Amino acid sequence: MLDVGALFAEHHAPLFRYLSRLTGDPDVAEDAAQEAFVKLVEKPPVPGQTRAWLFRVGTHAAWQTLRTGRRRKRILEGGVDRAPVGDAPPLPDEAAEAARERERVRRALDGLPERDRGILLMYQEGFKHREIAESFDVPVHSVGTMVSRALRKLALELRLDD
Amino acid sequence: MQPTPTTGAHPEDGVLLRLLDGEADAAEQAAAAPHAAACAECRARMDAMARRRERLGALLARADFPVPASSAPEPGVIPLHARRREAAPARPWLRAAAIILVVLGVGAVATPARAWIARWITEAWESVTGDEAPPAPAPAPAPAPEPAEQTAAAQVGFVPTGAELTVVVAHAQDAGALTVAAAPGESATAEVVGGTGSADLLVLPAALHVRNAPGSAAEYRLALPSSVRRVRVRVGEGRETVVNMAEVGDAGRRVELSGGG
Repeated sequence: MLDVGALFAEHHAPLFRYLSRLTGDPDVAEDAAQEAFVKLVEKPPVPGQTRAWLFRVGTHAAWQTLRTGRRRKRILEGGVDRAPVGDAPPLPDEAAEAARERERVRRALDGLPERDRGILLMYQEGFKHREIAESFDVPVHSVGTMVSRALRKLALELRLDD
Repeated sequence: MQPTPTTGAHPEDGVLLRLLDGEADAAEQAAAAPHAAACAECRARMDAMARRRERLGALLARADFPVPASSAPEPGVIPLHARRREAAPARPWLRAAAIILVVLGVGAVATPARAWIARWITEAWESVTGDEAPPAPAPAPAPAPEPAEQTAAAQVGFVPTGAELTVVVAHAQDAGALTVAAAPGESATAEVVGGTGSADLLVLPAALHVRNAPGSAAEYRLALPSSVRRVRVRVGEGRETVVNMAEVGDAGRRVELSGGG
């Protein structure tokens, strides 16, 4: 049987983390993560492929949301950095530092083509090249090229080689 | 260290990354691995990629948004999946819903919420069928239950996990509305109360998904405990309505689900 509770406990936080990095918007990330779990309940994937399946579905849900433009207005209005409901508000200094760091990383990630960003971020989550290739519908051998290219670009933007 | 003489051209970065990750196929291994192992320049490129990967990971982690606490599965979070189909008025039991229980975060003992769900299933079964209720879920210890499909009322119950609940309605309807009302206690209920059309109601932590069909004219009611202070209702790809529970009267707040608003 599909133990959604166990799957949620195992995969939700990494999925949310990945999607928020991908989109820069925690609301979009949470919605997309929820959507992925809704689809998991409705149409479970083949056992053993659940993690990659959730990330693939979540990625497409997030992109779909962003493309509708529903969230763009909120982003422009600066509503992205709100603390999620239930979290204690961070200290001002910590919040300011986190916001600065986030903005710097965000700008660098936004400089990558959308697909390269997703591929790199799934790579950072430890997925196999084959799983990444299937998620983004690219040849498996191109994953290494795309990841290394994205890493090289971010190394310049974020001074990763210093 | 003295560089070891190498043969052949330097492999491209993609090949070196596959070697680094242990993902090179046999042909690449045979063609590139000996060179990469012996070539100082290629080893430096591989070291640089590994270093960038590690440093980027640390940087991303420092800049991460916190995972929404309201979404963390906890004992007592009981999402249900209910389906309501078009009903035949002359045969009330056909209006019943197939309910699939999906229990998240089941603890070692039955939580009050879980016990509440068990009672609710029992009552719903009896009220709809007039038959003796099926056995309630075993109380404790609580193994992950089989997905239980039962005929019951078109209602789902759950315990909200945070102060805000998001209702996602898949499609704008031709008619119908969602009425948000206050409820006593700690549990919430969502139900299809009238109109025409079909919908799935799926509860996940901090969200209720209404998987309706385009053109539906169903009416829904959502009753929420005082722990929920705000409800965001999103309809299709369009508007979002925010309901402040403090401003909801006895009759509830009606949110239209039709395309025009």
